[in-house]
Amino acid sequence: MTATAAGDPPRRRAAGWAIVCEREVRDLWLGGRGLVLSLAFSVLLSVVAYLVATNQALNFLEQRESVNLTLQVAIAVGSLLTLLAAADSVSGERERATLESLLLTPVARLAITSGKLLGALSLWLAAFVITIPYVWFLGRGIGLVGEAIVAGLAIGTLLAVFLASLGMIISVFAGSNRVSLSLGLFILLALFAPTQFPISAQRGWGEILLRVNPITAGEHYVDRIVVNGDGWGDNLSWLVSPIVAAAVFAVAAAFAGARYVRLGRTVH
Amino acid sequence: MLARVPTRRALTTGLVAVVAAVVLAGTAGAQTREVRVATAPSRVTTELGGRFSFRTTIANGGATASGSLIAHLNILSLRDGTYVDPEDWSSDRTVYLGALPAGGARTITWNIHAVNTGSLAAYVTVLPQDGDGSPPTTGAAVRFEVSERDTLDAGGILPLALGVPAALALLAGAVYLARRRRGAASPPGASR
Repeated sequence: MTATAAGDPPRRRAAGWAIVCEREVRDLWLGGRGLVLSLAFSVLLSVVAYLVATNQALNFLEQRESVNLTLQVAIAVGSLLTLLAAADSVSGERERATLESLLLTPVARLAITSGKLLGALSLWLAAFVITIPYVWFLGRGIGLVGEAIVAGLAIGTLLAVFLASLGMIISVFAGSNRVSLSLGLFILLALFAPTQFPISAQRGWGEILLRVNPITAGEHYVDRIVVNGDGWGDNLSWLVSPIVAAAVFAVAAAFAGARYVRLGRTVH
Repeated sequence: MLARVPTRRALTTGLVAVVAAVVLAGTAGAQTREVRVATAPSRVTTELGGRFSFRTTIANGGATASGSLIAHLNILSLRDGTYVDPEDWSSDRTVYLGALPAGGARTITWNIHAVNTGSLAAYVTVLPQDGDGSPPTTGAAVRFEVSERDTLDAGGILPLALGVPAALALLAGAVYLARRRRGAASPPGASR
């Protein structure tokens, strides 16, 4: 910390969450982890976009469907990156023995949790920026790029907030980083599993399950806008679950962080 | 133990039951035989990925109402060696029609997505819901001619597919080098 010179105007101190967020973003991106994950993400999107554009067996896809496929992969993997970063946030600090010094700083635990959550979300934003050129390439010429980007950003951000908060909650209670990451990954896979339901299973109870699951509901909404060309207000009921999940889990993560972050946990 | 000798009443009841079953089966068979299935158009030409539809009209030409009917769409390739999964072509291939009144008709529109190239055909079969064993009624086949189509312009994808990861790799390398330089310039024991 530096002393302010007598003649200088007093500087406003940054809020605690902003300081933690800045530190998280710096660690993630200047530490190299964020860039390596983004590089892997871009390689995956390159392979998907190349296959969709050139493979004869896949070339029956409509241009809208190819944009949708790329966008869905981007949302799924971008959310996964966010979940992994959040699942490492508390249990990782605990394991690296840096949590104690963080807890000793004069920053409220709620601010620590919020800052870490926002830091993890920076991975989603980077993943989305990387996605834009691929969506532009595949969707150019049919007036779809703008809609696809806005839909991807809106739904992807809701899902990223939900998954980052979920990862944070797991990280607060997990006894080790390994438990936190593997549990987060398992839950994510379970949430994505219904996307593989056959069409016949997507009716009746199957549809209720798809609507309740924020991941499948969000992806369905994007699908309807990008592939079917539906209006933004046509399928709003499918947005209920992603919005509720993002709000509820963000509040729960803040509460868990403020109330339960400890140096040692017992869940192994 | 001696077998029980059937009484006259039991014999009569059995006979009536058999006759009733035969009459009912005959009536139901007659009902499905009165059902006519007409399809239009008879031929569709499209290209790979194309979406189109055709109509089937199911009419009851009988003097009485039909039983509950089911219409089912099937799709197959007219050439050997082409794998066709009808579910890929149309997600809603079975329609429960209910009963048709005498002289009544109902038209169904089938939405199709062409996911294979080649010569294919679709036909609609109507059968009674009670499964009484009478033969189903099948309409004339609709023929699809699906031609090749490249829906995407692949030109330019390679520079993009290689360029984005390369740019990120360069950025990661630059950050790594900057960190190493900063680490080398810091005095030993200095903390971040």
